[in-house]
Amino acid sequence: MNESRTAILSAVRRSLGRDKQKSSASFASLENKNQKRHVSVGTKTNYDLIANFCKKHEAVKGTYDVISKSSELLLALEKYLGHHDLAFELVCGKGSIIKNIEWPDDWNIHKRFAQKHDRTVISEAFSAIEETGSLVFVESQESVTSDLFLSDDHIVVLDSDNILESQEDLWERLRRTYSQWPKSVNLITGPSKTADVEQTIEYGAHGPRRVHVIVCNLDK
Amino acid sequence: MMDSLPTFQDRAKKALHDKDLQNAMNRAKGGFVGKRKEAVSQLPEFETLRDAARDIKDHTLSHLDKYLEMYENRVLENGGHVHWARNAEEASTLIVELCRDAGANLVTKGKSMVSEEIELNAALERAGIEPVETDLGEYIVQLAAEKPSHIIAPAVHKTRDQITELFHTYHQPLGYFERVYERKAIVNEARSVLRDRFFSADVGITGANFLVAETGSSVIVTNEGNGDLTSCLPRVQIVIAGIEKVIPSLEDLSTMLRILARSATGQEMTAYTSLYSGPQFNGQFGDGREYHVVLLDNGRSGMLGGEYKAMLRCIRCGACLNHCPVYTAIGGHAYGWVYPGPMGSVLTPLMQGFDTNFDLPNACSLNGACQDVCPVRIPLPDLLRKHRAEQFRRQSITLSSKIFFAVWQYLVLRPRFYQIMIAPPLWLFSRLGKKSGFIKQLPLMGGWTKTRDFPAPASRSFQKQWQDKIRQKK
Repeated sequence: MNESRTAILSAVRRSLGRDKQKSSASFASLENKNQKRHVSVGTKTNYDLIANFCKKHEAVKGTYDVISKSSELLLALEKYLGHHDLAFELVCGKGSIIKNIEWPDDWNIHKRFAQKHDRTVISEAFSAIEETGSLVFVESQESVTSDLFLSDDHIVVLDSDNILESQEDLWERLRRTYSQWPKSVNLITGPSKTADVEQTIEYGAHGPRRVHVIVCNLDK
Repeated sequence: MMDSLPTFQDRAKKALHDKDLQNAMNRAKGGFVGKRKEAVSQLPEFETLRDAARDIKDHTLSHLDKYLEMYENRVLENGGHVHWARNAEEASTLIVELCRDAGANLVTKGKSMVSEEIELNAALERAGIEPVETDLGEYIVQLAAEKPSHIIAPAVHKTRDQITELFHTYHQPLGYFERVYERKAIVNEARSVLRDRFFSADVGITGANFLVAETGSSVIVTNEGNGDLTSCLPRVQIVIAGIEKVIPSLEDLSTMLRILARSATGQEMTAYTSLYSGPQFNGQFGDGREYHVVLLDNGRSGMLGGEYKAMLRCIRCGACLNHCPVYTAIGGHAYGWVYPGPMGSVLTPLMQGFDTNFDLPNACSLNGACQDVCPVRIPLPDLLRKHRAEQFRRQSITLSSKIFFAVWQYLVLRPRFYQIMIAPPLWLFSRLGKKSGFIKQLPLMGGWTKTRDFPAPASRSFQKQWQDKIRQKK
């Protein structure tokens, strides 16, 4: 297989007109040339990150609730589950806000990874992006990617301090947070959907049919 | 199964007379176009982003060897494996071997045009491994034993009734006895059938929209979430991508993502954008998983040095298809290979040769719509013209075209003679269409006027009118 690697890279160099000469340019030097290409988008008139994020999230058919006290979290959950006639049974992920929830005895809380037929999953987002209304998740040994895709209802707890303006802000934060780049980063923008039947959108193709965010704008 | 008719003309004719296909295409017509237009109008920086996206691709292609090596190093650091394949056969063999090593019986697949390019499903089947497409559109075409007819909407040519029947035929043995007619029910049944497949798959194979050199990430963009379940559930994850898919940094990724979804479906952002960079931990296999990337050349390194280099910028968004009057009339299968529409008409002869694809560069009115919407500004009409010139150089054009162009050349090189020759037919045609401005039937060109009217020309040529005007002024 090394043979193919050599052949392909040589063919590339030949086409680029520098036959055997291996480029010695560093990533940094190449990227210096690259910087001028970056275009910043969005002229902001309104810097209410929370309101803007919620608006964008709603535009992609997500739903949300904003709470200001941690005691309101259970109420918000109860409201959502009740509204959709769902059992008080949740697969519960990890996170600094979630871990402090004092679950009522009569709720059925599973602290494990999501499985094939789990109805409702609650997880905590690493971050969110105002520009597109996207939620961001980073895999770890405690919260795996499949947790995000298997349930019918995905309830996401989001610390409002983690809402970022743009994708570029997210990349910066990820670089700062992780010395070893994470194996999986997922940006989720609304529920799963498909338009493969008659080019008409139906929700709940393979992933969650509904995505509900509880934005925690807690007094600190 | 590709359309078995030998020539583009035969396939196009068949497509135009296929009622189901025409119904499906008419239903889809304009949908993507309108959505794209609206999304673009809401982003003032869109044109600047197109320039930036073009520059990013050009920059990367000019240092492709470097960026590929960087990408490879990052993947290795992340604990993944990188394999290189010179051509389709090498890539298929490689992937079949990886599947065999994994002891795979069942493989789930996310949507991947490159996997179509290397005919991976056939290779897997020959090896006794069952491939299951999981994008709903791809799944439908797989059941129908067809190929996708659109890059991002593979089953755009299928009507709901056809899908109902396909599901009824293939899902009965799985215990789904009732026919499903409503869209929601169809989607639900596919969700349920494929959920089982996701969990029993031994290997998951996806394509990649982008490869990020900085982090060693393969990026997939989907709305259904099938690509993610394919990536994260099985023990072995395989990504296959063309070598042109690499881009330098995460910031570049943001630029590309901002133009991709808007150009493809008119979305600001697709539902799922995922960066996979190595063997991730999962519930069933813990950290005992494998992550493989197969980098495919298949003619790309050659294109890099020639006049078709710009084609390597293509991000497979499908906008040129949606805006092409030829594609929207005949659908994707008539193009005869994996890549349809304007980008296909450029790529297919480059990858498959001219011999069987003679008509592709000519099945184009050069209206320029594809270039107007291409997010990375590929000059598609220019590239198609280059193909035509190449065909002419090779003299691989039909006898009737040769005669036509010889006569044409003789005339246009002799303007006075041209004027004399053109006057009588001009007079005749303008008389024929005097009443309505259109000619309903043309002598010797009955085939052309059978489905459309010929606009009547002015009774005097433009040059004559111009001369008169100048004379009057004097």
